[in-house]
Amino acid sequence: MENCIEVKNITREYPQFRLNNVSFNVPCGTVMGFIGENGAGKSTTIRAILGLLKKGDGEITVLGENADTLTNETKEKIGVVFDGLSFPENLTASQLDKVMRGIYKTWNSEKYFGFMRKFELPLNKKFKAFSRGMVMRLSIAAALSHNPQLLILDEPTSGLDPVMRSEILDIFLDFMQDESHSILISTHITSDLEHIADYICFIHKGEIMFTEERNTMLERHRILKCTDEQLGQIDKSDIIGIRRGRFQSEVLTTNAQKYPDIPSDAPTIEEIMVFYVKE
Amino acid sequence: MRGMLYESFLLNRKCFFFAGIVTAVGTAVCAIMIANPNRTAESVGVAGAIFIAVLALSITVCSEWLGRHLESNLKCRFVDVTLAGGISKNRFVMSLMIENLISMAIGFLMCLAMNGVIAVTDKAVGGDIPFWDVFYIKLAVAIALLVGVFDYMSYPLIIKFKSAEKAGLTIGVVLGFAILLFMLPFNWYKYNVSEEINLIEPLRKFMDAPYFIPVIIGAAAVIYAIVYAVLLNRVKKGDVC
Repeated sequence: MENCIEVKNITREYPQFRLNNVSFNVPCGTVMGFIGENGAGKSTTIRAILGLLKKGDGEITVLGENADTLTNETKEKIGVVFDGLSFPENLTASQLDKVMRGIYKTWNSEKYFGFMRKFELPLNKKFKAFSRGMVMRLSIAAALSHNPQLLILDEPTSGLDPVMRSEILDIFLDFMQDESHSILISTHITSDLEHIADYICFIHKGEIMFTEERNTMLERHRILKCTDEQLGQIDKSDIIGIRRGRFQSEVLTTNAQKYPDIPSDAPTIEEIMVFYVKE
Repeated sequence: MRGMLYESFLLNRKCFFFAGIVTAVGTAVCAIMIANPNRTAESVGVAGAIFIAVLALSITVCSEWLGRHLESNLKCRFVDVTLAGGISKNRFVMSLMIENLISMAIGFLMCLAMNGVIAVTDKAVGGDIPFWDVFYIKLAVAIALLVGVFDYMSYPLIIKFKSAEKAGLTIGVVLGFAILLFMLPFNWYKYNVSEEINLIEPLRKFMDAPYFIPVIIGAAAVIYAIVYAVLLNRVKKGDVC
């Protein structure tokens, strides 16, 4: 199996939003960072991949199966983290273990309680008393505790302090030691993706802007730092986005080689996203 | 499915506890009234009315949590977690039905226990009121099924409105209108054509008939099957949460 997730021409209509012809693949054994601004369609796309959305145009394949008819065996291989608390708020962690044992045949209580200790989460406190960071750590612990092959994570490091984020990312890197494992991670914290992502998929207003290998993407894009005069010389078709400053403007382009006289910098993933989104 | 059932009953055990309290208090009140050496026919009648009211209340309380629990799991997206996990859509819908049936059964057993205690109390004081009578058992079955069916019918609406209150209100309004549409011509007929017509006698005859239980169980089974199919179709469509 070349790709663990294949999304082909997904279109979904909602009253205020539309996923428009979304297509991308997540190669097996890789980490794909799924980025986009708030309301771009990341969570909707993730739910479509999990077969939780209304059927529509297009096709989604997960671990070789159609997403709308995933077998229980395949679902057991997918670890999911949704944004926010997605467990009943009156449960405790020790009760959740018993619940999940009844949902996942491959649930590993030892692993789960190991994560609870590692993440310093209380076992007998109701989830409604958890902070956001605790909620995310709990969700990650639950996602990793049934020996998944594929992790689908929606904002998993949101609300975590830098130290905990670093620990979580290390856990994801450990997870990826097994070459059969893959991760699709949607996040606003693009700096996390600099460490772990192999591929970046960028969605904006329900449309995929690009999907490519992270290093290639970073090498391809450059930020030109130009004066107003120089700005006038840049071909409009080469401009992805402009950030105007008091003394200079910054232009994101994939054709920096056409302007050797204009100084340029390598952008971060975050800067690329901001330039694409800013109009 | 085991996990879902465990979660449901774990989080809502207080409802059964409260239903038990209501049943125990009702049983005590009725038992005291019946055991009273100065009891009269009127006081026994009042005890009987309290008994039937507590019977209905116990079953209602046992099932009261079902809709709210589904609403809560929809809002926190635990339904998405279970559907994305090792639970098929069929099993998810099946677990909702099993929760409903188990709650109904627990309520019914509480009623049987109450019935038994009151019947024994009456016998102990030399009374001859047939409290342990097939009629009351049939009544408990009928109320349990009615409450269970009413709750179960609300599930597709709870998914639609994401609110157990709105769903219950909608069903209540629809049933209210249905009863009104029946009662209007019935009352017209009663007061303009024949005053002898009434609903109590035929209902009593129906309850006394040996086919009462099979008929109401059969009717309930048909409604459960229809709602099950509607629910499964809705869950398969997606966007449940």
